[in-house]
Order: sequence, then C-alpha cells, then structure tokens
Amino acid sequence: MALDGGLLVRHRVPFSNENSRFKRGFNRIRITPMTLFWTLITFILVIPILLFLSVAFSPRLMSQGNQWFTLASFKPVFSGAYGLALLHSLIIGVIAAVGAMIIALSMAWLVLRTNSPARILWNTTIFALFLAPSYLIALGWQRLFEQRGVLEIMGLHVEPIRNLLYGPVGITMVLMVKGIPFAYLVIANAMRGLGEEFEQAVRVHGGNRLAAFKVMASLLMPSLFSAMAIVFAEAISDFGVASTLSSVGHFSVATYQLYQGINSIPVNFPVSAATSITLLSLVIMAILAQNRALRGRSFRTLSGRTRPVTITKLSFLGKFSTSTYIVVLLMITLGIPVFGAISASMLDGLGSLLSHYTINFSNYSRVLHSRFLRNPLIYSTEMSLITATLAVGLAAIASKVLTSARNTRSKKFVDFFLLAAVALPGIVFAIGYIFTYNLRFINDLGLHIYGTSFLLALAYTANALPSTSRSLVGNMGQIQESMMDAARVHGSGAARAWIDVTMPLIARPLLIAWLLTFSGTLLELPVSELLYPPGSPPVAVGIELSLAGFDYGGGTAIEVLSILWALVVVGIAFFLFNRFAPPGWKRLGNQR
Amino acid sequence: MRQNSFKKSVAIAASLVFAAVGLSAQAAHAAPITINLYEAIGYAPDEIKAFNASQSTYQVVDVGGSTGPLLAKVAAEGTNPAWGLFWADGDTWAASFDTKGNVAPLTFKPNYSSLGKRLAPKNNAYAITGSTVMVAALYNAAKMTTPPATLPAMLRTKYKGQIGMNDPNISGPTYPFIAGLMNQLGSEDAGKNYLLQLKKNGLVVNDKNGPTIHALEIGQINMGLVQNTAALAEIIKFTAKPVAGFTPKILYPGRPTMMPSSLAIDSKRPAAEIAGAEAFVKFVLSPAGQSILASTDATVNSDVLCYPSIAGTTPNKYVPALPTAYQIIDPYTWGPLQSEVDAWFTANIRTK
Repeated sequence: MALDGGLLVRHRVPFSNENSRFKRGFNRIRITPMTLFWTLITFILVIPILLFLSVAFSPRLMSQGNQWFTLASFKPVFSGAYGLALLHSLIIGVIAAVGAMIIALSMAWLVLRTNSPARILWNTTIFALFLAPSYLIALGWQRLFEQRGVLEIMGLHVEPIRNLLYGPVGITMVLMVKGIPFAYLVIANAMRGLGEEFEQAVRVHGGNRLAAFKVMASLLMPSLFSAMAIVFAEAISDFGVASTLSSVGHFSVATYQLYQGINSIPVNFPVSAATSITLLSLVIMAILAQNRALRGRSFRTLSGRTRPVTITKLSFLGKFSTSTYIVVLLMITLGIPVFGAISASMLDGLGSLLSHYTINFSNYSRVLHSRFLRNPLIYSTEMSLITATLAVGLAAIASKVLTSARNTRSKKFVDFFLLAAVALPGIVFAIGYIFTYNLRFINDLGLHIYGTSFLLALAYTANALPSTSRSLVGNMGQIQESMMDAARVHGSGAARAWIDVTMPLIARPLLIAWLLTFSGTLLELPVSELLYPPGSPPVAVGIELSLAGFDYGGGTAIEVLSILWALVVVGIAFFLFNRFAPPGWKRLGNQR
Repeated sequence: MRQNSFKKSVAIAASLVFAAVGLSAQAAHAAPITINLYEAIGYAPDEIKAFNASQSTYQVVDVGGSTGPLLAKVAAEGTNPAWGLFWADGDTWAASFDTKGNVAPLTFKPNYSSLGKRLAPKNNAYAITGSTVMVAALYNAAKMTTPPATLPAMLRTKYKGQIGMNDPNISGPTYPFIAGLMNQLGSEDAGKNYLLQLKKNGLVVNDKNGPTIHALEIGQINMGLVQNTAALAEIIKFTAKPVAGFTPKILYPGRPTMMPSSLAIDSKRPAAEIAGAEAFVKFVLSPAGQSILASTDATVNSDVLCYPSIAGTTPNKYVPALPTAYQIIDPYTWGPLQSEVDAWFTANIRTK
C-alpha cells in the first residue's frame, strides 16, 4: 500500500535512536541454517551436558542434594584407586583408537585401491560389523576361550590366552574390534575423495610404494584423527565390555565409579558427574593432540578434477596374503559375534559345545509373536529414520565447522561438545536430558516434551551427531571451497550452489552417514531406556526386558532379528541410491 | 499473490475446523486419567492389561525397564516427577522413597499372608506384592555331591574356586544378600570379613545372575549364589531337557534373606492420580490380580516364581516350599548403607 513503492518506509527518519538500534538488532536476527544449527546444538547438546556436570559442584541446582556449592563429590575421584582406573581407561582408549585406525586404514587401502579377491566380502559385510553389539562380541569371545569352551573342546590349550582375555588385553581388543567398522567407514569415505594424482606425483619423483602410501596417509590425517577420536571416546565411556571381561581379571576402569554412583540407593548423581568431568579431561587431551597434529595444514584435495584411481594389481602371493588377512579379520570381527549370537539364541543345552547340544530356531519362532518384537521394532525404525535424517543434516554443518581452516572458538566448542557426548556414557547423557526438559519452569511455559517421541528423537540425534559428523569430516575437509565460490560468482544461491557443487561430491558419504546413524539408533539402549514415551518401548528396551526375565535365548533372538532388519534397510537404501541417484553423485571413488 | 492468500485462508479455516472437531470430540468422551507405572517386574504388563480392561476411569501406562535405570530416572526427575507408581524387586529403594516423603501411604490394609505381614512396612507406606530368596545356592549335583550347607562350610578348602556370586554394583538383588549376610553374622564388619575369606577361598565374581549361572553350566564353578527365581528358571529348563553331567539343584546355606517386591505410589501426583494408583495397587493385590501369578507361563516370565504375599493366593506351580530357615532385614536400617558397602565390595572383592 506504500504510495512511494516502499521508498518512503526505507527513508523514514527514526522516531528515536533506541528504537532504531532495537530494529537493527531485530533485523540482524535471521533464521539461517547456521542460526538453526547453533540453536539446536545449544539445546540438544550443550545445556543437557552442562546441567548434568553442574551437579558435581552444585547438587541443589538439580534437586540432588542440599548444597549450592561443594567439592565433596570429587572425594572418591581423588583416591588412588580411581586414579589408577582413570589411567587404565586412558591406556585402553589410546590403544583401541590407534589399533582400530591402523587396521581400518589398511583395510580401506586393500578394498579401495587393490584387486585383492576377498575385498568384496568386506564391502558386503561392513554394516553387519557395525551393527554387532559389544554384548555379542564379548559373549562370542567368552564362549570361545572360557573353561570348557569351544577351543578347549577342540583340544587347544588356551589358558594363557584366556588369562589375557579376562583383563586389559581382552577389553582393549574387544573395544578395538568394535571401533574398526566405524574407523573404516570414516577413512574409506575420505580415501574415495583422494584422487590418484598425489600417489602418482610421489612415484614420478622416485618414491616407492611405501612412500606413496605415507603421502596418502598424511593427506587422510583429518579422517584418521576423526576415527581415532571417536573410537577413543567410545572406549573410555565403555562399561559393558569392561565389566564383563574384567570380572575375573579384577581390572578397574573409570566408568565403574560412575555407574556405582548411578546404581546406588539413593542414586548419587554428584559423584557420577564428578567422574564424568574426569572423563572429559581425557577428551580435552584427545582434542589437543588432534589440533597439534593437524595445525596449519591444508587437506583440501577434492575438486571437480579429482582423478579416478587406478587399482593396484597384486601378484598371486599378494592376493593370497591380503585375502587371508581380510578373511581372518572378518572371522574375528564378524565371526565371533555371530558365534556369540548362535551360542545364545540357537544352541540348546548349556549354551556352549560342552555336551549334548542341538542347534535350532525355536527361540526365533517363539519371539516372532513376542510383545517385545513387532511394535517396538516398528517404533524404533520410525525413530531411526527421523533421527538419521535430522542428524545427517546437522552433521553436514557440524563437519563443515570442524573442517574450517581457521582454529576458531566455534570450532573448538563444537569439537569439545561432540566428543563429550560420546565420552559420557549414554545413561549420563539421558539424565542430562531429564534434568533439562523436565524442569518445572519449562512445563509452566507450556512445553511438555519430556516423555514424548519428540524429545527421544532429539536425544537420539544428539547422541548420533558426534559419530555422524566425524564420518563426514574427512570428506568435508577435502572439498576445495573455491568451487562453491565459483558457483556463487556465477549466480547460484547458497542452497543451489551446495546442491550443485557439494552434494555430488559427498552424496555417497552422506548416504553412509545416514545408514550409520540409522543402524546405530535402531538398537540404542541407554537413551531409549530413560527417555522413551510411556507405553512405546523401543526394540532395545524390549531386548533388555527379555534378558531381565532370564529369557536369554529369546532376547538374543530379538536382537539378531533386529540386526537382520537393519541390514535389509541398508540394502534397500543402497539399491535406491544406485538405481535413482544422478550419475554425478555416484562418480566419487570410481576406479578405472 | 491473491491465489496464495486464498490458499492460506482455506488452510487456516480447515485447521480451525479440525481443531474444533477434535476439541468437541475430546469433550464428548472424557479421557481417562493416565498414570505412569515405572516397573521392572516381568508380569506387570499383564496386570496393567487386566486392570485397564476392568474399568475406564484410569489408564495405567507401562514404562518397563531395569530397576537401576528406572531409579536413576526417578532421581533425575527430582521435584517434578512423572511417575505415578513404581514397582520393582527389593524394598530398600521403597524405604528410601518413604524416608524422603516421596510415597503416598496406602489407605487400605492389604490382606497379607503371614510372610507378607512380616515383609510389609509398619506404616503401610508401600505394598508388598511377593518375595524372592536372596540367595539360593544353585549347584551342579552331578559334580558337587556334598555341597556346603552352611556359611562356614563354604570356606573349606575343598570348595576352593568352586563358588561364584554376583556383583552388587551391577546386580540389584545382590545387595540384600550381602546385607542379610551381615545381619545374620552380627555386624557389617563380620559380613565383610566373611566375604574376604570367601574371596581367599577363590570366590568368582560375575556381573549378574546370567553370567554366574553360565559359569556354573560350563563347570568354571560348581555353585552359584543367585536369586532363587533365576535358579528355579535354570532347574525348570534342565528338567524339561536334561543334559548329562549337569544336574542343577538348590540349597540355602545359612539363613537366606527374603527380598520383597514393592509397589509404591508417588505422593507428588494430583489427588485423582493417587486415587487411581491406589486402585491399581488394590487390583494387583486382589484375587483377579493375584491369579496372574499362577496362570502365567514361568518358562518365559520367571518373575511369577515369587512367593505370594497375599493370603489365599495360589503360587505358580513351579514355586517350591519356602526355605526352612530364613530372615527378613529392615530396609530402613540396611538401605542407607548400600553405597558404602557396594564401594567396599568394588575395592576389596571385585578389583583387588
């Protein structure tokens, strides 16, 4: 209705300076993807973590005691026994992280850069590896090496190995095995984006194959560190594997103290929070190490001119030895949990091959009609679909922040909270959510989101965000920003430029990150157990309830069926991508 | 532009119509009062189903889980609780709730059996729905022909390395066993001393019932100190399908502790919800609610293998006779000691 076509409004003299400042401030608030990202990060990650940690100093703040400020909860943390447990956690975390990274790097190279015949086996089973729960991995190892276990029945003398297994060596090994699939996905994604030109340059200048491999490894540094950081954080926050395998060897880890606080009656959250703070100090050390290693270097190798790689042709001996390596690794990473699952769900008798056993599917046919399977699995699938989509969207932005060339505060901030979310056990994270979203004043504002699927989806997203972001860091760090600039100069909007330029380069990594999140969320337990909406248990809770009722066979059968279902979804997603995605999206990582 | 605003208007009008229809439908059928039941009891979903079908005023909603995480959830909810009822094994948690003033006492006197009367709190703060024995010594009679029948006998060198138990930090029901041990030996120190001697005699500590029983199955140990329902589930399984060389049997060394299952009402809920919660408690303790114990298949739901607390209830057919000698410990005395005892167990029995 403006008579001057709007000019009058823009040129109007402000009524007062104050009003103008307010308006300018208001105008500056725009809902951009970054605004949305920071808002979500604050509400789903930062506030819940900080509120949980705050009870270590101020139990009264969250109605967990009478004191507004105290350091008493740190008393158990400063004992010699806890110091030793923390050191154990640190050593286990470092070895598991480095070991998983080295194995994953070698596998990525064999699978993507050589013609080793067994590489197809690895490619088809990688998601099965990722889905294998640590419970089944630990169970499989136990069944093999225990007294009168499979190996002893076969006449092997395994006592020395058993003594190693029930202690630090076994715990580290299981956590390393658990970390390999994730590390592989991160490193393989980045390796796909690394053209052949760098290796060729080394060879042209007289470097041998090892020198070329070293150059390639150094160009993959962001993804190598990403992989190690997550495996490290997962390892130091582990409780299940350590408590299972340390029971005989009497080996302590830091999370033991944390769970002691949560399991005591009355529950002692301040001690658990104090323990969590010490775990976070280990995370800070990991971030410092990462920053030191990557400081001042550029890893931007991915452009429109990235050249397809040439496959290294192996000799017969090379093919034989690399295939043996892949098969042995698969037997360890997949065969052992599969054996654990068979032992727990299909072996009738004593759950081992000791004597008089039969293998049957009775547990499977029984649980098909269990109230713990159908509806919980449907609900978990729906939640996982939502979570994967939300997490991948946020992770694309988070990984962009994490790979920014400048070591800004926002980068450090995101890095710390993403790793903190992994280093804090899931149950602690979920308690932070209850602290935050069950506050009375939030309810008084009319926001009743505690006990809803909405909050569960947010918590799942926050829980998945660290690994999803880290899985994209390698690729995002490789993208040359000049391509986006060029698209913008030629008239594309930010969104259009992202879809046209960035999307084709990271479509496959995005799909893998989505599947990673979907698979990880489907069987997630600690967050599910504390935050699921009344009356709608996710499948992980169903499994837990089955196991709690001493129905070990039925519980494990539900777990195996859920894993198979996740693999079906993974298969469908890959089929749809290969069938319908534009050809340009599938180009990255092509071989010739 | 005009078309857009027309579409917007239609959309808004449609939303208003739907909202109005929804509201009027809601008003026509008053929704039942919803009560969240936090439970770690295997047959609770059956009780909920039967209760909800029996009336239309209240709707009990199941929030099942393990006792530990559920207690953590309640503690995290703090002064703004979302639970209306809490039902789990043990009574130390219920006593702790009561001490903090978080439970609404029952306004009726349940028709307890003599065992139920001994287990129930004097102030009627919460209901006792059944009890299990902590611990039963489950042993392999095919290998251990003369099992130790008393606590001192378990310390004999002939049983060195043959006995296993659970970790109270991970297995909730194991603390009442340890507290009972201390109670019958006369003091906390005497109980600790006994456990240290047991450890010297090669005690094997596993996380919880499952791993301890598996250790027994494979012959790593020959006697596991576990919850009697877990032991009974094992006996039922191997009676149905016997395996040569493994004959699980139960005995009770010393005076085992009767561990009740407790059902408590949240005192912080509105009066109408508290009334509904009490109606549910009444239902569970009624003949209709109690009949679920006998009618449920114990081979897939071992929680029904408890000893009933209500007079006249027929227990599940697999439930054996009560131990000839047993004890009941005071949860108000032993509950507050749990953190300290668990920490001592970690430092002296588990990790040393």
